[in-house]
Amino acid sequence: MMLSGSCSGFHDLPEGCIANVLSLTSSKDACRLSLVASTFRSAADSDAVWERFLPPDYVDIISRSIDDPDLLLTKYRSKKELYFHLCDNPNIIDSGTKSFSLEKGTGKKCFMLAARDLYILWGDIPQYWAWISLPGSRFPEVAELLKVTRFEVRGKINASMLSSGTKYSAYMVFSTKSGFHGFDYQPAEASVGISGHDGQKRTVCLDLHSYQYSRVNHRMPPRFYIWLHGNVPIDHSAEYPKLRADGWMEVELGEFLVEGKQDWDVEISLMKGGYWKWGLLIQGIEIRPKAG
Amino acid sequence: MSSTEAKKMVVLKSFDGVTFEVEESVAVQFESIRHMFEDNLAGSVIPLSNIKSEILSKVIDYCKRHADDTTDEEDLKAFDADFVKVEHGTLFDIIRAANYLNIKSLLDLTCQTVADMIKGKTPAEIRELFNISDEFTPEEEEEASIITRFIYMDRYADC
Repeated sequence: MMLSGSCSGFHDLPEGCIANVLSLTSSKDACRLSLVASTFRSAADSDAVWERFLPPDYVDIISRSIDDPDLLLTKYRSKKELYFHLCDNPNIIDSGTKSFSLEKGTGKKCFMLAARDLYILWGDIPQYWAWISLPGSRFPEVAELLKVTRFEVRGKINASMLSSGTKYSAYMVFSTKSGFHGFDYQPAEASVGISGHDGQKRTVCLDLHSYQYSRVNHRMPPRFYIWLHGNVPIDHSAEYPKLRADGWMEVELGEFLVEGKQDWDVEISLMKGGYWKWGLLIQGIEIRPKAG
Repeated sequence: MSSTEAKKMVVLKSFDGVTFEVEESVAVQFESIRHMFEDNLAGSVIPLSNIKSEILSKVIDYCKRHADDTTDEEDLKAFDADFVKVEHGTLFDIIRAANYLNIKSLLDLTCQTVADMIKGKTPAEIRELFNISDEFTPEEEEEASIITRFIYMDRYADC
């Protein structure tokens, strides 16, 4: 042990102390410290540090995996590797009805509720909805909207499953088939809140190509409106879809705060009445920490 | 006066030969050397050959304040906040001492202080902050930076 006769520097601290400091930062800080000097590398890569970045209940969640949970836990040489595996590869749990992953920067828990885990109005009537398998989906089944007038999808997740002290957002993860129709005139209404209470409402447009027409004049067909008025202003209060890295689209439905260990259900819904609609593919609803 | 005399005292000797007489109720916080005075080696001096007097005196101050039940929580917080406002070298010495003596609350406090200093900083900023020389070759650095950037995709491209 080095004598403390002279003043010590950060890099002179015992590895355990450096690991102690790092476990109080974030995964991103730990990765960056390993770039400061080689003496920090082993502390920055140590299991003691990365165990702290993994959620406290990660072993329990992984034990619900449809793949061999033990294999997943033993396959990785270090907790750091396991951490990044869980960030990049959503783990399918609960008989294929949910996926579990980690947010890279914070290690907070993310879930996606598969379409099969959602309540879909008339979802079990084959004329209205079909259940198909798609190569690009993480789940075995995707819901395909064949033809309905009333569109209603609801999902639920218990707040105790999520990371505490975190603001979460819920996103509808979807795709469209050619001929996708019926979501252009009127926007849909999303709601996110504690089950049994009125949720926060939000206006959502699923149709990226004709979102401009929303709210301006929902009675008039878009093409006719443009012919009559020229361009139409964008409705800035509404949520619009964004392209995800996995090729699917997503639209934010709302946000909520998980403070401590809380045992209430968060209810997420998306509804739209009006005319006939078809051609929508639903993968699920993703719940992940709100960025920023 | 008699009550003070009745208190059991422990004598600690620093690396540079300074002795400190500490009440046993304070010294019990030194987890790793507790057995030495609890084994009743009355009057014997416990040598702490890797802690210098300046640091030992600070650590004893901290433990005295934390052993005092009459201090209210707010005052203790203010004391802690003030306690860590020292030069970096001193702070690291206190961490080493707290680690060696196994004083958990002091280790938590000081490690949190350093953690707060490095949070969100780039490797170059951390090197400058703690005066650490850059020993990587530019190639090594570039490679490590690419790996980190890859891990975090472009969201954390400032790595």
